[in-house]
Amino acid sequence: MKKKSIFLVFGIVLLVFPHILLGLVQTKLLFMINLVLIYSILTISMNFLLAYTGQLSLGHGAFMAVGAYSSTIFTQTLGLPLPFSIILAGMVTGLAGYLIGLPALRLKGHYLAIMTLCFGIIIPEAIPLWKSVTGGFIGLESPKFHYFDFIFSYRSESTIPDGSAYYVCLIVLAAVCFFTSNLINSRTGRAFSALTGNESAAKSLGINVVRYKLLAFFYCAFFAGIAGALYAHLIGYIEPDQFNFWMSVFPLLMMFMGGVGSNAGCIIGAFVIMLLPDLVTTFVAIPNMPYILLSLSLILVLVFLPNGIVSSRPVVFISLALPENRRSE
Amino acid sequence: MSELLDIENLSLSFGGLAALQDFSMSIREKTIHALIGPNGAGKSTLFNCISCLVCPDRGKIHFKGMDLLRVPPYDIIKHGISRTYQNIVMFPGLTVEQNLMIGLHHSMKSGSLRGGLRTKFARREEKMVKEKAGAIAKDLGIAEYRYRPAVELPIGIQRLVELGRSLLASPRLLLLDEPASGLNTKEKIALAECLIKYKQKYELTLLLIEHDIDFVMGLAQEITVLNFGMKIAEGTPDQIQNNKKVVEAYLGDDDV
Amino acid sequence: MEDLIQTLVIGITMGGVYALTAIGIVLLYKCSGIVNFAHGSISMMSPYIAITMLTGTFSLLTDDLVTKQVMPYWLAIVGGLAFVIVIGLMVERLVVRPILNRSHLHAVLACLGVLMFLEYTVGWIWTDDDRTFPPVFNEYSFFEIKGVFISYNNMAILAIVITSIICLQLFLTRTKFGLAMRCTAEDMDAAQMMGINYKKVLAVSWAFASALGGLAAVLLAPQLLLYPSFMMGVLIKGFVATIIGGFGSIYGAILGGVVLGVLESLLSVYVSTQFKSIFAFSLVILILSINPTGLIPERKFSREV
Repeated sequence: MKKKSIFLVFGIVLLVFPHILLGLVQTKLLFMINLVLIYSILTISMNFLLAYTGQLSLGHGAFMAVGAYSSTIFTQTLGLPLPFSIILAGMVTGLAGYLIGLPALRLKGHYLAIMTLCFGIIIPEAIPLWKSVTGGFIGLESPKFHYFDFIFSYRSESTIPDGSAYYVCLIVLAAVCFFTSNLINSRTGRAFSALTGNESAAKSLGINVVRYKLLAFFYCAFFAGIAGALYAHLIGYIEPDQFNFWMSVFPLLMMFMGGVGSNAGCIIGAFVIMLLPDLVTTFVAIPNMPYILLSLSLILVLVFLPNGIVSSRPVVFISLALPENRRSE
Repeated sequence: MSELLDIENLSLSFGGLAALQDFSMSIREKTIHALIGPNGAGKSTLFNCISCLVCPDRGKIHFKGMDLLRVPPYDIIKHGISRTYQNIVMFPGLTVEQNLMIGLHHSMKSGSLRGGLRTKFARREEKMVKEKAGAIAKDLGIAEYRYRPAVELPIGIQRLVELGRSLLASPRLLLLDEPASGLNTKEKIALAECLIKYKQKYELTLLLIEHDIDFVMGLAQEITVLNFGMKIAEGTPDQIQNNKKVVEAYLGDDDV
Repeated sequence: MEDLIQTLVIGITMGGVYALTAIGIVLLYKCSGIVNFAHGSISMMSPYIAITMLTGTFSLLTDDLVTKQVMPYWLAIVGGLAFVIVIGLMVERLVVRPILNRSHLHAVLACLGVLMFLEYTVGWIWTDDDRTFPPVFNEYSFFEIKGVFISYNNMAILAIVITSIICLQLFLTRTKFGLAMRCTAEDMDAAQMMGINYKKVLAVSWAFASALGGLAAVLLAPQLLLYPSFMMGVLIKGFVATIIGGFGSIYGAILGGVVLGVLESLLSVYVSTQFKSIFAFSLVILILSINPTGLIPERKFSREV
């Protein structure tokens, strides 16, 4: 019973949170919180891939881009309703992930990382080339969320979209967490654990390793695409420059900062990486200092807290596959 | 009793090394058949061929009359062949119970969607599989370790978990790769009794690779001896014991 | 025809510089086992330090380069390289080595952290603005052979690249320590059992890699303009080169670098400059899809389950 009441309190806090925030602090913070929620989803998707297949993706920015552009095109150009186009954008990105997974299957460790890195660079560069559809380098405008506007109608005009977006992102994040944590203790989750443990034994137990790995790529890309779509509708416009290398690196940093292997870790990592720089800037006016401190703290965390800040659940560390002569067995 | 597994002229080379040379063997249903031979004789390779993890250069394998080499490795278990491994495979990050439950993976129907959404169907199936895993854990005497991470347990227990996992798959043919290795005498006796019990109970056919000759002699009804990828002898335990070629293979040639 | 040769020469030269970066990457990979994403940022510091030493100031205004020169050009370059070697050694000792034992994934992440740290720190100290960097020779002096125009600068770069590669090769093959490094690269554990001081090898390999990277940065800075992330693109091209040539060998890195440089050059002249990076990376994806180990295969022994 105690657990349920904690959940209830936590839930209420989450629901009331934006109102408190808007009342006390400057409005930009709510926008940042929304970004935290979206990056949490992105990080969870990356974590999904890493934990379930041992593969590291360095090109998540590309998935974000595909999701963002797809959803924007579906709503703006094709006039589809928002929730429908977000899910459809997720499916499109999932398909992209599946396609990337096909050649990636035969790659191990660092090769895969580099291949995803290449995709991460190519796709944002290739998107503006299709000017008629994607608006070239100028980008596209994207409709914002308005579902929960009525709740915020007592506030000023400019804050309302952020408030609406908050509830939407919160719901999606909750759904993603629900889905992924259920998966762990299911038949699929066990199959993933098996194939990361010993592929041959997994095959002999009836697990179609290829199918499962591609499935992991699909889901990872699906969630990342949804995150991208949410991002587009939060900000209101998208351009290729936004989906650069750093967008691929952020989820990585967040995952390791917060703790690989747990959703909570991803969320905490997102919080820290997104909000810490701003926190620092309010105290120290030196340019670049927030990022200097951020990178320094990342290094310190990696050296001294290998399990990330969360350090709670026992985490299975999957090291990049190394050439045979590197293994100590 | 009919032929369950029929291996014909199997040959396989890794680079310049011939792991199996023109190997043929038949296993009758509901028998305990052992495969022995010095290290590197090709025994594990043979298992890998049967599991379709490795493709032989030449030869055929028929199981219940069906051409096994056409079957993808992940479907082998569906046809009724289950196996254990020389270096036990306990999946890290999973408890004993979860390791056991994987044994039923192929017969479950919940996919990722049902699992992720935790539908009624998925929950019911999970419960059923959990119960079955619990039942066999109890039967094997390892129920107290159910919730422990499998990799942390002593080898004797891990072997039982692996056995339980392969039995849960309801196989017709069970391949055991050095099941007694790492066990002390008491554990070996218990294992032998266990194997005989399950063979009776589930009407299994067992094919095992073993180095412990005493263990094999007491357990097996038919023995095949391998050396350098070739069959050098086959017969009942008595016949093998008195076979000169077998003795030579194990102890080496007297005249150098 | 002359155009083609000119394009090829430029391609080979650029390829040579990519090769320097790629060699650094491969060297580190073979000795430490990790892919060092901070390689570009460490290298990037060398021209910054060189200019600071050259002009004696941190402001780095273009005029200063001409008016204020407190020391000879080559000395400043050497200073820059020395500094970068020290930075590389520090990164290896303080960041990489403690993490290496845990998981290589962490080490890679740590390198990304170092990348961020260095880029933003440099941006803080020297500001993010683009700077000019003086080339070895005045860019506009050419010489001509049968209608082919080649700049002195180009030749100088080619000469420097070839000399460094030859020096490295001589070191690795003719000296005792070079042999130790090659052994460690093959099999770390066996090398240690042979009495090779693994820590020294690691340190020296990082020093070499940083030096090569710093040299590449100094050679490229005049062309690419100096700003904190200018070596990022080069680093990634270095990865591409190592993959084309096969991640396992230094020869592969050289081959990959030259191939990449030539292909890029041909593409930008005869097709368009817009597709340069897309082409390079599509090539990588293609190669990885077909043969993960690139053009020169890593020796592998087939093992059973």
